[in-house]
Amino acid sequence: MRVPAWTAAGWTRHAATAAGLTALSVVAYLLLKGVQGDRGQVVLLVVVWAIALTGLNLITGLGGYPSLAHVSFFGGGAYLSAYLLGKGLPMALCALLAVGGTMLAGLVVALVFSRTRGQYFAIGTMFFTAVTNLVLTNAADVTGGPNGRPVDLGFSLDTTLVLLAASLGLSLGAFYALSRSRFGDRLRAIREDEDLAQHVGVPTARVMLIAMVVSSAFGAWAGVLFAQYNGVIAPSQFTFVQGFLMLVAIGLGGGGRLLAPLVGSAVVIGFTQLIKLGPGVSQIVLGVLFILVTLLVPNGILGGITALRRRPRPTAPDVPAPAPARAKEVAS
Amino acid sequence: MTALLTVDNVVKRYGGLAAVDGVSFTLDAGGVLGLIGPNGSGKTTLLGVLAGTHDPTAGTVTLDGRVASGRGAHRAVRAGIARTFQTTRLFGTWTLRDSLRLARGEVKGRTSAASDDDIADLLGLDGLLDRPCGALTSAAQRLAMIALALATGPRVLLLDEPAVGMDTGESAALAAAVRRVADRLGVAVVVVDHNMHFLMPLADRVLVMAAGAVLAAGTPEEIRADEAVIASYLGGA
Amino acid sequence: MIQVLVNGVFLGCLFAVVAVGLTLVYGVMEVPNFAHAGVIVLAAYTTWSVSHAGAPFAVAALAGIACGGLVSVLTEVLAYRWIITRPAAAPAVALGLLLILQNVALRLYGGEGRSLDTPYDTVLLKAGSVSLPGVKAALIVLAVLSLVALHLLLSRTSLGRAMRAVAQDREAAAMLGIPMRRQYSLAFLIAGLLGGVAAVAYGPTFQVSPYMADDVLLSAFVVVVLGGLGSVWGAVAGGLVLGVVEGLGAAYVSAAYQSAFGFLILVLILVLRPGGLRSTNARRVA
Repeated sequence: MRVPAWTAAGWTRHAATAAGLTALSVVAYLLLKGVQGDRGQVVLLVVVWAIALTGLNLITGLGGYPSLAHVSFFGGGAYLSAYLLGKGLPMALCALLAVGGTMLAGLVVALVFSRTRGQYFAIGTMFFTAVTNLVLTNAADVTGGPNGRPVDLGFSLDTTLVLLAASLGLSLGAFYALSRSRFGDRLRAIREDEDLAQHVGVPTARVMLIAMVVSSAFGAWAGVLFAQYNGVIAPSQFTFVQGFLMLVAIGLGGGGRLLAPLVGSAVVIGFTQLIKLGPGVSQIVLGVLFILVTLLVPNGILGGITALRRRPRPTAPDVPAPAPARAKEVAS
Repeated sequence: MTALLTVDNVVKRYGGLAAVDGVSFTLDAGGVLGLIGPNGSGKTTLLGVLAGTHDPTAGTVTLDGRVASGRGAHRAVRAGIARTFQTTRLFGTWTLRDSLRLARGEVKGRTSAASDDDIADLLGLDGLLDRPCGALTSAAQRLAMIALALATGPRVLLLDEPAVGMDTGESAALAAAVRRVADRLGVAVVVVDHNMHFLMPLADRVLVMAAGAVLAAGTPEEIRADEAVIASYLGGA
Repeated sequence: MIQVLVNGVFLGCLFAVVAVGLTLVYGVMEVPNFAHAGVIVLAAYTTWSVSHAGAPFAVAALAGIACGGLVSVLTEVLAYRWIITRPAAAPAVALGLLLILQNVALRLYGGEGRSLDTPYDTVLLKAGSVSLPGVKAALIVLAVLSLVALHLLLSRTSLGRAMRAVAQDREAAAMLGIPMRRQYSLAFLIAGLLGGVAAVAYGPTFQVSPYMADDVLLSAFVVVVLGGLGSVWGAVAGGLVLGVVEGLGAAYVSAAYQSAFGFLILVLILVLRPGGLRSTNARRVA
């Protein structure tokens, strides 16, 4: 599954990944800085989503659990930091408390739902997001109600841009490290067959719990940065439809793959923001696309590309080529 | 000397229905216990209680004097009880070697498992370690499931209909492999199977279950001769 | 107090009708049918547009119910059928369908709410201090009628018996020679018709909009979890319990957080009985 970390080939691979992610951060910064207007907004959203979705890629991508709660963690970071800033706390402390507070919420959600299986998990996290949205809409004295609330400037615009660009590379780097650790293997084992994972000794509930809490941190931090850039936040940005679109992004990108959050965000944001097809149409197209990808290319766009690239090449004589897609069907 | 595995009056109820109704037995290291009985007699449920898949409603399973039941599957595995399933279950897209490494990592420091190559050797899986599990033949997949269980370094191995879907030659090879596991690794084995030609020569002792309770227990020869068993289950076999 | 209970029963009937549709589909196909909300929305809009075009309300209602059945079967034929061997993909496909159906409604009818007028709008039943508007009474009547009809179908006809067999054990049913595809379509048809009934019955009390069914769907899922996935009578009983709880919560705590009380119940079930739920799952897998 993963490249052994302590071999020369492993280190070359890690170094190349680190270099690639650094380059990605630099490109992201240049784009954030250089692109203006509507398109600038698109770049921002893609970067913010990619940071947030890196967390979702742990639970849903590696672990195979469809979490609809992620958008609430995203919103939690945004609202908590905005509220604390409004109380006059210094920005760094606000960010820390917002991320910490959201992780605490993530822990509670995980304690309730990490022992439930796929379908219940989807229903439960969906409901959690619906209730969170209900609170954001109704607790008007804290959240500003349905029309949202302004966010005080905590970071200068340039600081926010630097943080966004750096966080993109660092988040993906953290995911790379996690997915190559035993933690990543355990999550993959849960996705393949949770009962079997338990019976080889994986404490599945605890692994899911940790994944959920860690993922909420990514979501919350992305929310903090989003609030800083946007200057205003509203419940309509954190509905369960948004939560579902996050899931769509991971599915389209290719769950569990390093760049899935980035590719998925680009496709989803691109469809909803760039292409003006009239109300609803872009979401219909996304829905159809998502179902087609789920049915036809279970490993998403990135998985599909890998499979295509591998096909024409003859396999090396004594190394049997891994055949993920086919093998999975045989097993199920 | 006390037995390795002690099953004491285990009961498992679903609602009003007792799937397992007060089963007790003991098993020593290196012993092979055959578990037979008609469909619905509670064999698989009992296996599930032993493996931590199900919590018992009453009674305990102790391994080396420590209670191992009712604490979840992963703790049972860490205590030294591993199982396989009736239907083939493997991490289909992984290679067998990767699967074994995961299992080994989960019990690190608690038990010592045989090496990958030793396990492959015992089970006759040489040369198949680096193939994706999903691409193995169905007989090899059944053995791979046992390999996965052995990688957790178990002291008790529970096999749920391991010979299902195998032809005579394959099930004979399986029986030999299970015997090797018991003899060389000193693992106590519990085997559930319907195939008497497979089970009877393999088992040291046989437990016959009916309606959740133990109907008879003894050596394969004694069981063959037991009239109650013949009437209720073996029929003309 | 009695007024609150009556409101709770109204909500409960609504939840039950929606939840029975969900649990039927879950029973035969093991799909959490999030798209059911989209079916309800389209059925409600169909009723609205037929009635708006001048047809009598009864015709419009029938058109809406038929539309619900049709759309529901379409989701099965076009999407769910293809993932029958991959239950893990079911939530994703269901949510994709929901996105499509809601946005089709948005595209066709716009985002603003429409109000559905019925001949019994102005009726108000009164018994002492308790009053019940005609639309709510109609919903209770419709719900009871359709659930009784469903009960007769499941218990008295061979079609219904076959469906119960499929819900019990898919493999065994297939071995008995029950045509599985027809059962799947039938479950979705019944679920869709019930969704249509729900839409016609509660459209008039709320507004018809693309997102009108979201809250009801979530509550209905809680009902399904409460009553046990795949159990029709569990869904009816669970629906009434949840309806009364949400009704009480809305009356005595806060109306804005009505659906949150459903969530509390869900959390409570999952905290108290994860083992029970887990064992249903384990049985399904093993």
